[in-house]
Amino acid sequence: MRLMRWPLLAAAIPICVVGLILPYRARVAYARGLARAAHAPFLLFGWAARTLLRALAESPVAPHG
Amino acid sequence: MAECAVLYSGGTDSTCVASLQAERFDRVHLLTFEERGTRGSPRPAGNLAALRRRHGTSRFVHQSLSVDALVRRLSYERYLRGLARHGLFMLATPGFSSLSWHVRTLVYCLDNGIADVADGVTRELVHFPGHMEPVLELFRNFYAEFGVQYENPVRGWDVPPQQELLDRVIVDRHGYATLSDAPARKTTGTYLFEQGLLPHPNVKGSAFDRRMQHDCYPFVLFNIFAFWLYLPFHDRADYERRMTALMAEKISVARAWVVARRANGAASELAGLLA
Repeated sequence: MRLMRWPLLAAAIPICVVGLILPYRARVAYARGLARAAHAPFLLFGWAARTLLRALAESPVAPHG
Repeated sequence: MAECAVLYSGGTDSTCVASLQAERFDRVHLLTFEERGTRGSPRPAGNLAALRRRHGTSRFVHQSLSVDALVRRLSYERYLRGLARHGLFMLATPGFSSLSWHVRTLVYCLDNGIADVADGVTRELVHFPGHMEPVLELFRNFYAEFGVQYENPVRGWDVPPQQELLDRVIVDRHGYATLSDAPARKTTGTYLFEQGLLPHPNVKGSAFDRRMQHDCYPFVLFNIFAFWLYLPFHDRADYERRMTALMAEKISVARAWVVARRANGAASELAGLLA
């Protein structure tokens, strides 16, 4: 994990410097955008999992209880 | 009539504190704060209704109060000087939000003759300024200067071992949350479950949880600063010391505002920020 800190630092510097120079409303919007970007893989995975489960449930070979 | 105020997000911890305070006080003022970063969040209606069913409708007064102008002012007052002194710590918006809630609560208490305040701060997310012990001590002193007692009744309680996946990835990369494989003993969730106020002892991070309290995802920018930029290269004591110094400065500014509001009322700067 110690090696990981350098690429994370390299990513964090521009992200934080941009945040620092933004005015209030823009900073909130920027942070919200970062949060959405961070959530995207989880939302996408959730969507994919739900779609797969739905497809399975609707399949004629699905194990209905 | 004995009255108190509770900083109330509608989540598990603050609902637990509201329930505890309802056992001690005749009336509990639940204060929910709104700002740009939490805009669009659901109002904490579900747990408020549960509290009223459990303790009686007349026991609770719920107020939604805007702190947006206050957070903005706290974040940017004397900004260049702040940048020179504190650098990237000026991204500590979650700390400025916490301070704005306490300033608004203090004003509410002074206006309504309330001498007791409590919130649901636990030992989770202790990289947030408002969750750090030295900063909580500053808040306690801030209230005490105006004759108000500030308490954290569930501060010493256990926290549930599970965390939302995103929290594990972004928030807890450095083990700051108190994750444990051991079953938690006394948590706010188990208390509310035993009181019949929650359907499960641990709902944190669930869809149920997200429906019952507001979001504040803009803290991600602050987390990136803390977990990617600062903490991997500095020790925690240094982080706490610098954050506490920043918060002490901001509290000093807020103190002057409250004093000026007492002297000048509606003509004061703080009255304008709270309008």
